[in-house]
Amino acid sequence: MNPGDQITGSTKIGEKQVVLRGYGNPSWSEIRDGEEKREDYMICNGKYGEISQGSDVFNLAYGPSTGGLEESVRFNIYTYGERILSIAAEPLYKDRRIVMTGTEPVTALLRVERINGAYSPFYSSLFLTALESIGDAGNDPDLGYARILMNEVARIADHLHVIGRLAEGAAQNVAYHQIFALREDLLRIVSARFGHRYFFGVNGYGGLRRKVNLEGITMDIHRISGQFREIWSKLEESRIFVDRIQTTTTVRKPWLIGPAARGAGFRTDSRISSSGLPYGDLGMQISVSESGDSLSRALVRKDEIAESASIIETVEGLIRHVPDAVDFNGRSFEGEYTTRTEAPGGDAVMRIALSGSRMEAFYLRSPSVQNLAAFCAGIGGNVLTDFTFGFESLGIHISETGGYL
Amino acid sequence: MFRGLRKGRVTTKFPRKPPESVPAWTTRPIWKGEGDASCPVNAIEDHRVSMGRCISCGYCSGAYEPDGSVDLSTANGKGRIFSRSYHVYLFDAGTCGACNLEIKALTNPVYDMSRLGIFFTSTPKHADAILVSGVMADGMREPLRHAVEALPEPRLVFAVGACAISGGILGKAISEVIDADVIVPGCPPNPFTILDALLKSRGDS
Repeated sequence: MNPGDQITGSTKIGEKQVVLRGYGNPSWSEIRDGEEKREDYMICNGKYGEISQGSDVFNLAYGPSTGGLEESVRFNIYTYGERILSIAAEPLYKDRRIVMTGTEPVTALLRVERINGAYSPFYSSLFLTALESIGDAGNDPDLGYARILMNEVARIADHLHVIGRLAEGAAQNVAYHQIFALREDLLRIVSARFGHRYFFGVNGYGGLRRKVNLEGITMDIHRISGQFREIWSKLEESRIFVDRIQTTTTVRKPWLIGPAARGAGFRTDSRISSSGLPYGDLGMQISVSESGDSLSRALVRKDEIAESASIIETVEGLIRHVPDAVDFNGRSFEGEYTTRTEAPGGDAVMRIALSGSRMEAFYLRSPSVQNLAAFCAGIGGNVLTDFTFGFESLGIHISETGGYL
Repeated sequence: MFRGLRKGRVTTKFPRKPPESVPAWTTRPIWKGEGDASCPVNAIEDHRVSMGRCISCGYCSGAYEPDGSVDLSTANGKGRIFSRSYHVYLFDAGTCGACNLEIKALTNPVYDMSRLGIFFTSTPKHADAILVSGVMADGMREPLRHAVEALPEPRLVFAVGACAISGGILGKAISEVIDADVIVPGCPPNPFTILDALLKSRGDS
């Protein structure tokens, strides 16, 4: 059994609700109780971030706000000056404690879109798939394909961002600038076709909220994919780039997810195993690399950009008519539903429960929580200059590591 | 490098020329003259949209349409105190990441803010202005106070994005801790709007 293949159950440990997945280590996420979240980070602060003691060892505090980090997070790096002995992450400085319970689904949807701007279509699709299941809204295949299309475009944008940041960290400035120019090109395509660079306000109940232009998008995406392939072919010829990221932050744990798991040889992808969207019709391929290091994760993402372009081509051919969204403001929903998807960083699980016209519970196990733990697990033994390669290669978004009330 | 030469110039001609591509729903929604819309953040009053509150959701699209202008930012009297090279520090008070990505986009070759003499710094001690994005998360209150105190005078504080300005739909505004000199609306503001705000705050016409 591969990690991430199935959720084995949801259980309470003490006062905490914990989702058990795969085998071995339970991963956690919290439901509704904001006060216990720091303890929940023991996966970072405990086993994998244990304080190393010895002659001349000191704590190098990095963050929560400093140059080099795109988001606010603090790391306590235990080192004697060059080698990282261990590391503890504190990502909750910027925890927004997003209030979900008691809100109407319309408000909850807007908040879900803003959990992680880069993953907005993934999380809005998860939320709406769950809500539509509770509300018996039917299952329009064209809508499913349209959501897949948006997700795969966002996946390409995120992978470009991760590989671009990796190139920047490895001092490959020409490649970095070319990749970010390419990402800008992609975001402008999204903007022109969907009205918003991060898909805010596009996804709706039973359809799309906005008129979108999908015609010929495959050609645009293949152009982006082709140009990226050309940049990558030069990048991988750079011994400096390869030497810097190869064998850094090697992590091969059974609880890995997403590109981190696939980069460590685990053939797992929840798009195939259990996504609420019709990926099963598309014959998609899973890309795997074996080494578990920063280079392997970049190789997986590189392959996934091409695979996403291929998926987009397939679904554009399948879409006949995307339905318009239905106004669900004030509508009564009763029930609960759990759904999952493969976000760019890995497996994401969302559970919602509604009573009357209000949210009763909201739960998201976001991939960045797991990837942050993977970073803490893998960075020990590396030198300080490897920090950037390890962190960026895992595509961690601190915004989605917070809790929900 | 040769690929870059083959591809030619990708850098925008903004601000000498109008922006080439503006995401419609990050600009000001204008009433079409008929119909009504309910706004989830109560940004509409007398058919006018308060851009400090607008979260760019497009839920008003039946009765409103975006005007496509990137000239959205406003500055208090303290604006326009810098005239030469301009160093800015990005501070994430509690974002979804989108504002940060749009601010960072200013360094890509398409916007290339360094051609206009604007640069990021890695510490507020070397900055002329601080760009604060996101809602005011409790854990970031003290770091924000420290960061603003570390900025040498004269200094400017930007509130970038609906969350920082009004709390958006997620939380509290940064005004709980610090008053902003320049506000840059949008959810997230598009890079042209942010660049326009930086240039205006420097006194460029």
